[in-house]
Amino acid sequence: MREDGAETPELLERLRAGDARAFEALVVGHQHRVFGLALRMLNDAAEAEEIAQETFLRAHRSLAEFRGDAKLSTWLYAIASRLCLNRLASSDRRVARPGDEMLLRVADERQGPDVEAERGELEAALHRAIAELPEERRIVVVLRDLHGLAYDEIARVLDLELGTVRSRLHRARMDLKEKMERFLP
Amino acid sequence: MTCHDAHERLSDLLDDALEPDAAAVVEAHLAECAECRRELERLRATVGLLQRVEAPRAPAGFVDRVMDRAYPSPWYRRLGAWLFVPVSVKLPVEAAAVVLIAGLAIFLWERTPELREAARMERSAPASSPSAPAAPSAPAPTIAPEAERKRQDESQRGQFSAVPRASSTALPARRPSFPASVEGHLTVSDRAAADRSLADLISRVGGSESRRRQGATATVVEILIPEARYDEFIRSLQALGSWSAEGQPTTLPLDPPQIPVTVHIQ
Repeated sequence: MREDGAETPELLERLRAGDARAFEALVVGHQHRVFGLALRMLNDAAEAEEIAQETFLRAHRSLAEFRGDAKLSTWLYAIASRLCLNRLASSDRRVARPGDEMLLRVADERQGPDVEAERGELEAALHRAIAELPEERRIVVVLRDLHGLAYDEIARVLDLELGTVRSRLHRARMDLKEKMERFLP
Repeated sequence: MTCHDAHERLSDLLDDALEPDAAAVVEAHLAECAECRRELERLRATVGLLQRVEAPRAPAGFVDRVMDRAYPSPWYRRLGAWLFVPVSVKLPVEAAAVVLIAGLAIFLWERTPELREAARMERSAPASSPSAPAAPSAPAPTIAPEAERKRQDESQRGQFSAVPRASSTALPARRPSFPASVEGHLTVSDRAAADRSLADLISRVGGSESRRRQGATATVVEILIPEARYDEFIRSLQALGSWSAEGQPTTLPLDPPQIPVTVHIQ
């Protein structure tokens, strides 16, 4: 499997047959997406890796039962999202470390110290704004605006009605707009 | 449509997620409401910021860690890896141990004069050269071949047996024995009296007994005499009885320099 996570019927067959090489290709192809989702949700790199590993291990145990009526990426997002929300609901989870803020990066082609300082401030504000969202809104906006999933995919990943996805996404975006007020035109 | 209704649909409008009819109603409102247009642009900018966030990458080695957990190696392979694979760890540890032991040996060698002395004696023992007495550059003591052979013969015949050292000699404990450079026979009429006189003489010249053997016909005393008092010791020894000696005095590089002498009192 390529880094972009493209999947083929042949790959699915090999995965169902327990082919270790095929599973490795699956991990290589989806590692950044799964880890990225966990990091955005948990704000802790170690915890995010733990959840990302667990996502792939659960997928590995269930591959024989994967029906193939959804994309593998959607299936992995569903496992990862559930694990993240469960972890966030857990009372004994670790507190996010401030250093992890810098894992958020905003693409900007401009250069220079002023721009860097501005970008750092923007990153920090964006990080805080996303982290302060209620979890059920945060995961929807992360899947939609950071990972680019369609509404129906998000509904499938989170097992929600389409209307609920729209509503939560709208609320999340409006919250972020309020919090990012000073960076907006 | 009110501004509130329009606001509720702006997010869907941005994503082209509204039905065409609903989208047309919202766009008609926007065409008339500057405030809602501004709100739409601010929401679009917010989404633009989110979409510019760079995606984080999984840490290095992530795939290997997942594969290790998904396909754990059998115990014998893990044991083999533990025993043999980490050569990069084992080699430096072993090299460090060798260096440490070598360093410790050198440290002990430097700090223990007895060890150095014993090593010198071992090196020089096989050589039998009549070197000049008190020559600092020739510390190896020698034994006259004849005297050495005689001493060995006596030992083999069992003429001498180890006995407790007389307290009057006041020897330091565990003093090492040195091969004599001079070995001689002191023939006396009264061995016991001569033995006592010898002890006094040794004490007077600042020498020391290093070993004593008591035999049926002779008492053998190995002595270290300070080089500076050697001549005086020999003169006094001749006064105790009939003294006949073999070998040349050789100085041991001790502090002060000493000459080993073996006296057979008979």
